[in-house]
Amino acid sequence: METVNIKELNERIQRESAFVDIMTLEMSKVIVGQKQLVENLLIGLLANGHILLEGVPGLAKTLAIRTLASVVDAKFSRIQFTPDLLPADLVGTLIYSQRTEEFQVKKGPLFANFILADEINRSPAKVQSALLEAMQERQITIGEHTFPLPEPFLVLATQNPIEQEGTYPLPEAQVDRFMLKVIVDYPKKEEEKLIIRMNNSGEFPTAAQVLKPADIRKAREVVREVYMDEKIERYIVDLVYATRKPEDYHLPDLKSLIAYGASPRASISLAIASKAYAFIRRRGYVIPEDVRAVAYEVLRHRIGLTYEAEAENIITENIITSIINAVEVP
Amino acid sequence: MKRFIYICFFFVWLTLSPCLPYAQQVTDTGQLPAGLVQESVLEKDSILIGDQTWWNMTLPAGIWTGRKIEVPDFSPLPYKLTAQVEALSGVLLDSVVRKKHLDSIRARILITSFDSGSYQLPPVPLCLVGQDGTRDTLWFKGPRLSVNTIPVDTTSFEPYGLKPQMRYPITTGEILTLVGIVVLLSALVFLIILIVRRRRNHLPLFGPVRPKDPPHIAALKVLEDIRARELWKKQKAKSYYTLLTDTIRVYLRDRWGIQAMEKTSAEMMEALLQVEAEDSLLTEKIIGELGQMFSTGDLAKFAKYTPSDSENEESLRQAIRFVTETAKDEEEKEE
Repeated sequence: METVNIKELNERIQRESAFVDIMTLEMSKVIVGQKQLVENLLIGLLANGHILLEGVPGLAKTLAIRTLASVVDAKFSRIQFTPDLLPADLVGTLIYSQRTEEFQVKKGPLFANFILADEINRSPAKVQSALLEAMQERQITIGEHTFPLPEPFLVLATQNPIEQEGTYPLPEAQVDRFMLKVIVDYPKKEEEKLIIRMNNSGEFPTAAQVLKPADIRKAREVVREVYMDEKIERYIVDLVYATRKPEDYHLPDLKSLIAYGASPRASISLAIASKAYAFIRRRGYVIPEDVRAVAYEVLRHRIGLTYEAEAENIITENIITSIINAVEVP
Repeated sequence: MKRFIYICFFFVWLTLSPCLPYAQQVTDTGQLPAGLVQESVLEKDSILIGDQTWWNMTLPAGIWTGRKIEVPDFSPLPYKLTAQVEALSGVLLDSVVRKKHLDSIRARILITSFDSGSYQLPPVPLCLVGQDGTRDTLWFKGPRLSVNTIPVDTTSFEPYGLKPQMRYPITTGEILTLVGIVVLLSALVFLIILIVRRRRNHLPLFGPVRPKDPPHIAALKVLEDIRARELWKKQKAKSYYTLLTDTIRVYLRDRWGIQAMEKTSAEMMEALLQVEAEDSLLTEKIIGELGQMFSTGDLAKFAKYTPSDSENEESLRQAIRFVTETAKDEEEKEE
């Protein structure tokens, strides 16, 4: 029987995850509170998954992403999505050069390590779709040439849930490509007080660059090595399956509320995000707590609600809570 | 030749002429044509509007001997005998036997009327056709039919003399049938309730219900079984800890109602700490020991960790200690 020396595994994780504390510290210099947001950004970074941030204006969504990019020595692009944006504005285009008498590739802002797609739902579907190849295949095709994107490549998109006029809701295929959907909440009273003080003093701290892309690539390899037992795999599959066939998990009431359940991509994302969470918690193995910790962020945008659910003001979080409380933990 | 055809046609007309519609002739003249004339009677000469009665005609004995009786065609039914009286049947022939001998032949017509008044029924001809083709017509005089309307109370516009539906006394057989049905239905309802209750309480559908062991007895029995199996000695530490933790989870569920099967180790400890304030049997020390057992269990289950024999034995001891020290006696429970 193959055994794992838990002490050795944990020591390695402790060593490799040392940068997590430094990174969190640098980010906390700029971002007051929002610990969950910062933690989820780290999970996305370590699990190589794109993140969709949703929250009302003024919750430091954009600032958090800018800060994350600034602590890593990597290329950062910010794209403000507007209704008149074109796909070529993202991926780039071919330009005719009179000097060389041939077409030259002019690469777009997507050729960067960190992409901040600000207010992604303000652009029409054709522009959103231009992100599809980049997000899934991690490459971009311009004319006849296909270019691989630099590693790490992370799309961090924001959207505003309250202003729906003049927006284009993201199609399901696009939404499914985001590993995590993070709902950003208001800061606590004490945190807001600190924000006021920082702004009144006029001194805005900046985060130091503490990481190189190679460090992230190395950390990602270690994250993949985090041990996941077959019992945990079964637990993940049970959680995802319960979104598709809730009646099999003694949740017949949910059947009429779910239009469609989570895709297999959800199972993959749940597994890798759980590993990243275990890594952040300095553990070399995944426990059910890790799966639960990331379940909401991974599943909330992958469950379709019926009209009945919407009429009863039921949101996907309610459904995930019911599923988590009903599926047996290994 | 032409003359011969005329003579033939004359004879054919002469033969068939008695069967031609006579009613026309009678109503026009009010007199019966020549031939045999018989009386006819109505079963009821006075009926209520819409009521029905039989119009009977009797052929005298012997008159039909060797002859065929032809009756007038009243199709389609109902057939208007007069403007107000309708025949609901054709002329039905029936033999009347007396002292085993054919006495007479009776012809009947079922009639009705939907208009009140007194009506003279038209005469009905019956044609007797001999074997040699000779035809004699027997006429039955039409009687008078009186059709009465229903008297109506002009103050309430309801007919007079309405009688309620006759109520027959209920027989013993009927009562017994009803009682039988009620008994059967009651038995069925009782059976359904029994099945539903037993299924809900996870009890066997048939046979006596065995009293369920109290949570601590049930847990100790399983823990004793785990000890006897010594799974860790067979390199099955993962199965051993799965059984051990599941037993404690079931105990937590049955003892304090904590939904432990759906909780992680940390959530279970949290729930126990909440219960601690209300239960004097729970102490921080014993919860801490249980937490240690769950931590070792998590490592064995999820981290491919192989605990030492002493760790395995200690985990079992911790589980047994937790159950015995937090056991609630049945008498105490009843109090």
